[in-house]
Amino acid sequence: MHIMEGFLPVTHAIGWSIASAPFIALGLRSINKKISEHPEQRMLLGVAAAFTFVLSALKMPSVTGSSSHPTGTGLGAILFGPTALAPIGGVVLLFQALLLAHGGITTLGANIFSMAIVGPFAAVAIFRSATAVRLPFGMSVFLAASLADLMTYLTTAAQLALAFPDATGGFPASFAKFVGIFAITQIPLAICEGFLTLVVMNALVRFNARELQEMQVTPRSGVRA
Amino acid sequence: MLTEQSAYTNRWRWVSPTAKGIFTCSGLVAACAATSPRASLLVITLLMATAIFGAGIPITHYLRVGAPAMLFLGASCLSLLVTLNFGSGGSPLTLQSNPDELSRIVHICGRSCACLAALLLLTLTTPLSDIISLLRRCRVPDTLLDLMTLCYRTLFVLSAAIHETLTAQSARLGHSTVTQSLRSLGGLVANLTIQVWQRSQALHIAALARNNDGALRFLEYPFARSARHITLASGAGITLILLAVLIP
Amino acid sequence: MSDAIIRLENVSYRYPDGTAALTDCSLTINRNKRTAVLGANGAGKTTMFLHLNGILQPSSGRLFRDDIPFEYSRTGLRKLRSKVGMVFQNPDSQLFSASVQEDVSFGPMNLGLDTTTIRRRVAEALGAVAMAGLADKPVHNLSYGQKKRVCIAGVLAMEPEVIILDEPMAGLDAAMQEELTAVLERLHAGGITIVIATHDLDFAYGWADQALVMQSGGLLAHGTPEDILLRPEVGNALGTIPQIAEIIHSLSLLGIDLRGNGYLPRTRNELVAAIAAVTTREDTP
Repeated sequence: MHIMEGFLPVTHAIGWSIASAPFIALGLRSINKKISEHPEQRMLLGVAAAFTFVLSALKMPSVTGSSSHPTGTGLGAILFGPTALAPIGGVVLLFQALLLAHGGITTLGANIFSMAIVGPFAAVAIFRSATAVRLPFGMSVFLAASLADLMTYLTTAAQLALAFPDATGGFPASFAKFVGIFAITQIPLAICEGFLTLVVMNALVRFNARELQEMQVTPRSGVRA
Repeated sequence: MLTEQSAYTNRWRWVSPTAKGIFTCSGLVAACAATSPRASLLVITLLMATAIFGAGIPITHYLRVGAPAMLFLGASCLSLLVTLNFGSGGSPLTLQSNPDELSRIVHICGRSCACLAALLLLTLTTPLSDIISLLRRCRVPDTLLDLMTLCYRTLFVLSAAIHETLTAQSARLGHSTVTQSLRSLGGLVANLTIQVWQRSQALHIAALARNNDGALRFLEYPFARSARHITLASGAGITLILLAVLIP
Repeated sequence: MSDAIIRLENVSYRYPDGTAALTDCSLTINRNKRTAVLGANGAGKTTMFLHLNGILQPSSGRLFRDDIPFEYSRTGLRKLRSKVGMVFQNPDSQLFSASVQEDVSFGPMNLGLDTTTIRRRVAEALGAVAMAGLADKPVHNLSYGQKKRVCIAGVLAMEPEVIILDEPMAGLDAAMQEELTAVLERLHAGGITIVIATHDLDFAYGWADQALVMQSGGLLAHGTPEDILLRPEVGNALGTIPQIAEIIHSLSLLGIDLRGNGYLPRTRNELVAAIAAVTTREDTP
């Protein structure tokens, strides 16, 4: 869930940018390392960013009737890893601000924190723990994708509540308010995204398991750099 | 994409991106520095006027690009307007009536609109490839720039692929029910995921064939009279900030 | 300087997954010739192409450029790839920048040339493919044929001696094909050796000076198109023979010999002219 351009107070906008910066730096370092070992990763991650961008423009069939868009957070994190997803997500969020006026430059840091850092890390943590306790693959994927969306939305609500605490109830009251209001759109979205990611992963595993594995792990080593 | 369209066709297409970037940043600073609704309104008006009369963006076009963001802002401001009451009896959700709070919300709304106007000024006049070169001059890391360059180029390729698949699926009734639609969408995304690897492998080979062995570098083309434009933009930017600060 | 600009000597290549794509393939590409490479899908054309500028390295056998063996060191590959340019089939998998002139500058930038030279080369390359007027357009607003020409310009800007094109005519309408043929003709006239892989037998028959026919990873036949494309084994491998040749053959069965002046028509226009010439001859005894 995006925070609108200019919506956060300056100090908060700067604070969240500073909070996101180390994750972006870490992500870039891990990407650079990957690229130096496998040069084709440069193209892969660039195309992955475009993939995430177009994914977020897809319309999902929604139970409530309102149109909603997948975030691609869960899928991206499972496929490309959470560390790489911080810079990739950052690029996607920047493009959404520049091309669609969705989100913004001043709120880029806050949006990166909730959507490109908390979401992906939550997705992977949930996916790993779910597989560790031997939940079925489908269930793990569904949980990872939908809970990642919920974590993202809770983070956004917290960001807003920190910026705009309730006059009497302070942060908790404000947090409860934002969580309550956004639940109307965010909970159905999380469920839809969970199902969509499940269908996608099933299709990938069923039809292309070998291909995906091969391409992901061992890129065609015959190619000379 | 509407933003794209005007970025390539507006009157300021050939004005130095640095100048446009400086003015946009000044706009953002002015938007945040404005302390009164009157000052915010002035900043919004000036930024809009610059885009519409300066860069020649048609008003209808401008409004159509801004509309979704404005709707979103409306919803966000509504969420600020309500407060939760615990244990005080009556409705748990009430509308804000404290005048201090109300004026704070107006201030946030004004700042948001002004920031949006600044952002639109940049994006409606400057193609993304120019913004990427501008970021290159600002010393943004190469890897991030490569991601942006590839993302910008490939998103059109993938959009076209999605569009074709959606049409083909609809033609075979793949979107007639919600379940069916979810299944079709899943197939589409799975197919697209595989394409991510295939396309990036092809791009990699093509880059090797053109002697690439590192970051993606392109020649930058100088903009005519850029020094003059940068001076003008800086002057206008400072004036805008001063106006925002000084107007009570 | 030898006539052979690139030569393959007993080249075999096996993909990491074990598929043999080239087996003992020997062939020669001659300087300043228009060369068409023909073969059914899976005959090894694309794999062979990827060897020509060192993207793939043979499992066994050797390649030569100007009779000097390929060198796969960093500098060797750099030199090779600047001399042997490659245009792939799908423009969307070889254009990196959304700006036309930026993309064309990509190769020269990688060669480490100076700004003035790059700017000149980009302008010349775009001029050569008749795209100078669209240099500022975003790639995603171009037609398929225009994108294809940008790809060619991107390779031209590296000033190669050989340009290799994989299926350049695929997906182009008749008018675009004609424009592209004209572009290739100009490049050829400018001294560039052009190699094209194609499924379009009629195009190859009319255009090429030299044809190479590949089958299951090796060379089946090579020679001038009129010499080899009518051979039964080549017809079998490709599944058909050029239409023009078939028409000439059918006409000869009717007693009409278009070879009258010792010249065999290879394109549609030449065929029409030859038929017209025969008709006038018969009209005025």
